[in-house]
Amino acid sequence: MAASNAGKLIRVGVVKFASCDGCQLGFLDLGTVLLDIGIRFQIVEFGEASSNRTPDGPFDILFVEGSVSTDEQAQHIRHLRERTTLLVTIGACATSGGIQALRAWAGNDGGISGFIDAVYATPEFVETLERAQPVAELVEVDAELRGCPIDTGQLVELLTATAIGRRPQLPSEAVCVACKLAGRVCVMVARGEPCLGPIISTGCGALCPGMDRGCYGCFGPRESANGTALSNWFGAALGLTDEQIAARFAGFTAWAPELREVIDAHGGPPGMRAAAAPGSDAPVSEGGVS
Amino acid sequence: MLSGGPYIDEDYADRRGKAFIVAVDCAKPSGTCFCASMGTGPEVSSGFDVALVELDDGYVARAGSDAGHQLLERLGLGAATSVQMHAAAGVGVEARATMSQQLGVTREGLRDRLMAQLENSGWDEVAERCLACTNCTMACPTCFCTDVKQTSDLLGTETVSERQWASCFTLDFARVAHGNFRPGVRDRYRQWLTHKFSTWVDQFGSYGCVGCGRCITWCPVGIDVRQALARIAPVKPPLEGTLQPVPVSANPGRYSIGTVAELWAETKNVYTLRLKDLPEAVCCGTPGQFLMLDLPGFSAVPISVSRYREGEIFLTIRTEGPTTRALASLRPGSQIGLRGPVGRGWPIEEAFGRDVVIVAGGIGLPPLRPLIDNILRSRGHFGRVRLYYGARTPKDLLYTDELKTWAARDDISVGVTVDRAQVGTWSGAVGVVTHLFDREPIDGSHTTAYICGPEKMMSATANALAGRGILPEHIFLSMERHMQCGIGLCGHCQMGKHFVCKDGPVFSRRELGESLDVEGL
Repeated sequence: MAASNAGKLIRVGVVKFASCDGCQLGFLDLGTVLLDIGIRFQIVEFGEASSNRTPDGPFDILFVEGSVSTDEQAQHIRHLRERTTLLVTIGACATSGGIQALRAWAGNDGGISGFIDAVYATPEFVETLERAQPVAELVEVDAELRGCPIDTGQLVELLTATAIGRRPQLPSEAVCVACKLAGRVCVMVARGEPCLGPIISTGCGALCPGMDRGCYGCFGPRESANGTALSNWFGAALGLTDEQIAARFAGFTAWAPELREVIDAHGGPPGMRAAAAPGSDAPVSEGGVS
Repeated sequence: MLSGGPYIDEDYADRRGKAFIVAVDCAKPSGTCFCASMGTGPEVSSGFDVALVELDDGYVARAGSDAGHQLLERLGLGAATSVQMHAAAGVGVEARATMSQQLGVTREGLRDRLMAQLENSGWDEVAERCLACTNCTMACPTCFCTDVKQTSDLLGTETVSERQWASCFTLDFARVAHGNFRPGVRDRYRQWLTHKFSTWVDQFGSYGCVGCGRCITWCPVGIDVRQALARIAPVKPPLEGTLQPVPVSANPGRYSIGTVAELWAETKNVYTLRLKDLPEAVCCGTPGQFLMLDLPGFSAVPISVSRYREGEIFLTIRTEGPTTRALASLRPGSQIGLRGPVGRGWPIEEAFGRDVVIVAGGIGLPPLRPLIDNILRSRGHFGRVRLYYGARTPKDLLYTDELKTWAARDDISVGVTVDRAQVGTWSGAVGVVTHLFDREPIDGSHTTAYICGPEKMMSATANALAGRGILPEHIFLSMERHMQCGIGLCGHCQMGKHFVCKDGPVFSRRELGESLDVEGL
């Protein structure tokens, strides 16, 4: 696209749905690169950063943050898709539903209304879909920048590749690769710390193992993610209970199929069933919904 | 490795050339160590400038290069005492003894053993556990694969090429424009293991594993390369209850003498001889081998052994010409000249850990019977075992009592068919033997097939089995040609490039190649 329009600025939009805005900050964190962007790109919509807006596009590239959580959002993303050439989802919420996708398990025990009643003082004003959905469940997505938040290096790589007209080199290999390249001692082998690193895409630079903690899976499952084998090892070798295994997998990318499968096989996210029981006074969830 | 020989990595060679290398002989192997079984340790044998042996009261140092000598001289160390030298020598012995108590790798023949198992089900078993996380390759001291990553500024005006460690366990490693050569984890694990223990030998003349055990240590789910090799490419265990082969005479004029113990008819024109008082060598053949039988005054005939017993063999013979008719007229106590067993028999070990399909046509069953005997005797070495047997008519079926006995067992399934039968005399299947294959599915990727019968029947059977996914190297056939000497001297039995008597009579379908279906060859 870009190669054939070398002289023309590429129209970029950044929009958000249900999310914390943290991934949009990835753009603002670009520093001096942000100054270079103007040479090839024109940011025509970025509500977080600019009051000069063109919310209806059209967009050469549209970066979408957040999960689709209401019917209105579902209609809006379909509309934006029609106005966009290259749609890129950014962050765990947009790519896999995010932490809020955990509420999908509430459906197992009476639906979302129990959650809404427990959390909101005036639940009648809350409109929501049963599930917080990844964008790709609704419209075609051309590229994903994973993570919670995204990695600015990957963002620059995607922009550069688009500007030059080549395919972006986005990693699909395990966090383990980043750990080994950084010369870190494996927290799981050496200390028995449960770590999702072997089945999670790198991109964070193995941030958590670098701080002596196991990976929480912010970047979502990598290709060939063998969640079953890893969870078997968590149980058999590390001695984790079913509940502990489900808790470890039920994080920022819990709704990704490879992780969801393991969570379901181990009884669902801890606390979810208690929280969702209608009329129950039990706390909302220990699994992360707040 | 990469600083000399056919593949030189200039960057590595440069850095390696500038390095002064101090090595230490290992004194305390860990539970994951197997360098002794790979022949690379525990002592350092080459590639060092100075090598040290650690003792309780210091080190014994030895130089391995001029630079090492100069350094030791400059240090002005005294010569080690005889007590120290003795202690230093004991360190390696002790480390070796420790490792000998642990699981190791049997190097002998490993390259070929492993490459013969490319379709082994053990790959799938490992792939179920393997996370393809790359940790084994990232920790391996011999893994050398790299990526060249190019990064540029937004305009592409400045580009930097950077070499990084790569791993054959990543999907991208084998990606091409429209697909991937190793999409599955099984494919990637197989690539890694066969490179270390097979193809590395072809490329570099040594194994690509030094036995350090780091891949075992750092595997997050405890996969052990030693166990994988033992599972996938085991050292063939000897079959239970079989006799060890004894070399037979290389001289076509030298015969042994055996005595007919018993003779009985199997069908109207097929009979079985039981021979006794035999030299040990005769009884120690392998299934599929044959004997040259000689009666004074008659020309010698090749006859397959149809059963081995201690001190005895069975020969099942169809009367076709003067010699076989003369043999049929023998009586208990008659003496008979014989030479062998000769030839290459059924490679039973190729089916270890796999399903077995045995297909016999007519007089092709007798050469297969010792194979069936051995398989049933060591039944645990094999997966499912199936026998399919076809004859012209019900009256031509051989070993009918034994077929019933086998059919009654639950560890072998038996299918029998005839080409034609009179109405009311036969309740079984009618038709060619390959029709029996449709009764239950054959898992071609895990099956080894053994076929004996008329050549046209073997060809059709091999094609039918190939159509069910059995590779030509896992299909074995026993060929018939005019054989006189039995040891590859007389030239009668040539079939293409093969002497059937010596290179065969058993060949894999792959070895036969195009020559199987050529008329008049």
